[in-house]
Amino acid sequence: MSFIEVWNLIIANPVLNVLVALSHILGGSFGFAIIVLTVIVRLVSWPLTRRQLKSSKAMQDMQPKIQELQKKYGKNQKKLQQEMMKLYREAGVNPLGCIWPMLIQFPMWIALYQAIMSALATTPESLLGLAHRLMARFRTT
Amino acid sequence: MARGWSGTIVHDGIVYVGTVDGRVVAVNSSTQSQQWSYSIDPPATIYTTPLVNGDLVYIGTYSGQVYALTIIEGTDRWVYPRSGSIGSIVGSPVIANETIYVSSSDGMLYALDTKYGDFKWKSEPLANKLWTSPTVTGDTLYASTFDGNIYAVSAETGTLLDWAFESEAGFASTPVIYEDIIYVGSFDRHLYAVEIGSDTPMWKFPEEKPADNWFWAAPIVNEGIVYAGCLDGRVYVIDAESGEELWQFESSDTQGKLVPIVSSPVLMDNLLIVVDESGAVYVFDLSTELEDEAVPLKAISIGDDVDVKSSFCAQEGLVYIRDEDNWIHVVDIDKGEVSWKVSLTVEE
Repeated sequence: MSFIEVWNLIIANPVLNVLVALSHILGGSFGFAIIVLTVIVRLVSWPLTRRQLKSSKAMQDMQPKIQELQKKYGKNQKKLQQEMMKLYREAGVNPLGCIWPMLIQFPMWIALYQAIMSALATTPESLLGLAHRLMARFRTT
Repeated sequence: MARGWSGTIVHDGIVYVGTVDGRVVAVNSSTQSQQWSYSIDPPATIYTTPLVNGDLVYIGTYSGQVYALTIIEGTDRWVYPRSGSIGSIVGSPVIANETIYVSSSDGMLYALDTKYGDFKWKSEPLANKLWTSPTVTGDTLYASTFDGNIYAVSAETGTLLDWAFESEAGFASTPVIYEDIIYVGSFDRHLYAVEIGSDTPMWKFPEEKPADNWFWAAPIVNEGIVYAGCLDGRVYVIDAESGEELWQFESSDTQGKLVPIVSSPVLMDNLLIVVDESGAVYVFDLSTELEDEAVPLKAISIGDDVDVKSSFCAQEGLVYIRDEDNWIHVVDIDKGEVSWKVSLTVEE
């Protein structure tokens, strides 16, 4: 199975089907379905977003101390890195903490974008593609 | 991404087809090589199947132009519009009464003179976009739309006629007319038979539970029998009058997975030819009695990892199939194998 097939099976197709299902539930309003699905994605990813915000805030709070260390050990990069790691450890902050949640959220947003583009069926290929990607119960327009 | 799925047509031993890189190519079946190649400029995607009439071959492009090329040399005789474009053309044009009728993504039908490409008329917008081909019978043009209407338009003037058929579900396929009845595939996973002039369908198939996918390809009707390929991987053979299923065939791969049928089936003498999306060619002998779970006379594969979305044609025992990798495969039905194939990728 190629990466694209796995991606479609696990992420893209479920998101597309949820989007179409929402559109059915909301009386065929595709615009509302997009808004509702965006809200759902935001809610699902909220724990990650919160962790990202928390990490960013902690990093921000540490800025004066980091600047202090930079002033003190600016000429000795090795020592500076050691001291900064020590500082992060003591504060219980992972410097990559704000990146990981973002990386995990990326596929969700990409899948949402792809789902919207697929559902719009702007080209004949994308319309035909819907027949393959939608669950049978949603293959009605 | 729009790649196009122009189908093949054979005329006097020459195969005409549009390519994925925006060319119209004529392949000489005797020499099995390109006779000429015409590049659409600027390059355009082609979904329509070429149409031969007299000494010209016509094609519509996704960039919204209609080209008339000479069949001998492949030079352009005319282009419509002379400058600019109309909406994208997806449905293949049709010709009747020295007029070429074109459906366009701007939702309108256009009528052009076949000889000079002069504008005759355009209809009022029938839908947001028209991706199916119109069908002409007598002096009327019928067009099916994604929003579930079948419109009747005067072939002479382009004015909308009184009768129209309205359905809740959109129509996926081009309408086919047989003895004043329109047969058309729908997005609600049914095939409809609608008598011209009637407000209610004569029948819909399957009657109760819908098929597993859309009836995307236009059905064909012959001697009171409808042959309809479906994206659920089945060919349904239906009594044209009653809508009763006569038999069906499941097109499955080696793992038993059903393979969608995107292209319309083709009749050649007493043979029904079906090509599925994976390039499996099934031939049914209609002169024998076929029952449910019909067994094809022949099953021929044109290759591994082949993707067929184009319409195909059959003539004198040969089936001409274009795949999405830009190859033409010519299948010899008697021999049960690919007789020859030619790549359309390289301009010769």
